[in-house]
Amino acid sequence: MKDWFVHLAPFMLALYALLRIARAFGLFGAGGRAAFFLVLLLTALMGIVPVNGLFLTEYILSVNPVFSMGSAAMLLFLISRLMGRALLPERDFLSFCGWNVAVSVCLYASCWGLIGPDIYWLGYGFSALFVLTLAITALLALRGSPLVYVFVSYIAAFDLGLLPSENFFDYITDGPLFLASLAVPARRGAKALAGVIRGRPGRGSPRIVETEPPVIKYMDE
Amino acid sequence: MREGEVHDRIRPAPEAGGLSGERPVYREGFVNPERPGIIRHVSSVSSAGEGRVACAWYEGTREGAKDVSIRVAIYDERGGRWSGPRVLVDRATASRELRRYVKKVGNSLVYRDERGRLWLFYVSIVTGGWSCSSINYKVSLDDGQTWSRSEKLITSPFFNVTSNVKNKPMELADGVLLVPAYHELLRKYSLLLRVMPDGPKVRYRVRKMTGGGKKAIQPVLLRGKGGLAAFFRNADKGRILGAWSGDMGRSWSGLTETRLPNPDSGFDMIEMEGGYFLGFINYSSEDRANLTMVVSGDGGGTWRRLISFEDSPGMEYSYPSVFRSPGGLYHLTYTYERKRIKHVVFNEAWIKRLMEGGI
Repeated sequence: MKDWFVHLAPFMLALYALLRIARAFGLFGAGGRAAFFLVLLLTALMGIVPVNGLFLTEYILSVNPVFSMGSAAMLLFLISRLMGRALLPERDFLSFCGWNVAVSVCLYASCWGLIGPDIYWLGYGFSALFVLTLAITALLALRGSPLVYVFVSYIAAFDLGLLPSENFFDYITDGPLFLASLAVPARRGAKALAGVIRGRPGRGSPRIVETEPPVIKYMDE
Repeated sequence: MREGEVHDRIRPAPEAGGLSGERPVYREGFVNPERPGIIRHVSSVSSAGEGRVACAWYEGTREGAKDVSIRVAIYDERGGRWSGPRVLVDRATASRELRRYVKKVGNSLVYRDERGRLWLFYVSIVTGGWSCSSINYKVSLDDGQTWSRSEKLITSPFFNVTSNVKNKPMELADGVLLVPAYHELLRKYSLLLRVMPDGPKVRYRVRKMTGGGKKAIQPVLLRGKGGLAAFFRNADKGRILGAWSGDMGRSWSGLTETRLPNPDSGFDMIEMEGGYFLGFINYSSEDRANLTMVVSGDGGGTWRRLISFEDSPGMEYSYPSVFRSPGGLYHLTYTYERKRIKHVVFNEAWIKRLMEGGI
């Protein structure tokens, strides 16, 4: 099963990229749903036509061999948002990004030799990481947060061995997810900041307040 | 010596059970002939079944070139002859078998386990240099006649970079292979892969051996008294580094400097009867112009030089690999001026004679 499942997130990544391109060219509008299925079909076609002997998802997997469940979830959130339907409230999305960055920073600092402890080793077998994830899952369930489904997917996919890794960390995060979890909130923050800067009037200029036009009553009405 | 030319024959000893006997044996030759414009580097040598030795190395127009391929040749101990090399892996076959894009292949190591499986661990790169490498493996169940498809090992959570191999694994009693590996992205340190064969596939775990302080890479594993000793290439030049494990590699002591110089170059070591450690190193902290055999009788605390196989200023003799065959012969291969892989054969009687005389 892991032989095909490993292609899921790369396929979603290709789909997201094509959707962004289509949107940039203004191909989404009134025919949004039809355009989506057209792009989905195009992505599928690109996925089954080999180039130099390899399929599109295999090229993507060449760069990052294991896309985590976190990546699949992130891509699902981004694609749905692109189609005009946010699966996660903004606050939960930012929390999700924060979780990814926090886990990744600890993990990669160890992996790059910047800190001594072998954090990645903790991902093999039962460890405090597993307990922490279970605890967070329970907390999210109690709060009714939709993020609970992401955390359940980590545990379920790990137990089913859906990815070509026996390390639990590889089900939680990966390099592209870490970068996306930094970039997406940063981009949104930059947009919001730009909007605030544009909306703020300059010093000394008259403040124009738009109001409803006055109702003129005639004496004989 | 031309390719396939007979290495001096090694006659079996009068005593039963071996080719080494008590008479000192020493022979040298080459695994492959020189070819203009082709470099050979990073050889690895291991048993390939009864009376046979396998040697793997990579060759191409330059280190890291796209035309680099991993080749293997088989040596017949009784006949004293190397087979013609054949290509085992190149970027095209690696890409086809892994179903992934491969820009180039690099270091490899060959090892025959106690159950008769011949392993090839090798690295491939998608982009960048050796600091972006990842490890793959193939297995042969018929001593190199046929091989399984390549499989990739996931040894790092960040784009699976970087892991590389150089020295031979150590096999534990339960069949687990401890494969020494190393990491070179941002900081340099050593890793230990625990590879557990599980039918046609393997299960594995990767664990740090050293921290990111000293740049200790390309570990060599040896069985010492009551535990494992490891010696590391010092990527900062200076001296070979050492560490100790009392729990079969699960945890390691901090790094200490040995008295052996190291010019930031690979080396190999092996245990000898009587608890001695033999080392094959560049006895210099500056260059790779000599290749010297050293011996330690106290678990690596002190070392003595025995003989220099090569010593030519301005030349390179590097990346030795050594193993002892079931017949009792030591086989040493090393990069000879980047043009050929040299092969030296000797036995314990020859070593003991050196130890009596020494340098």
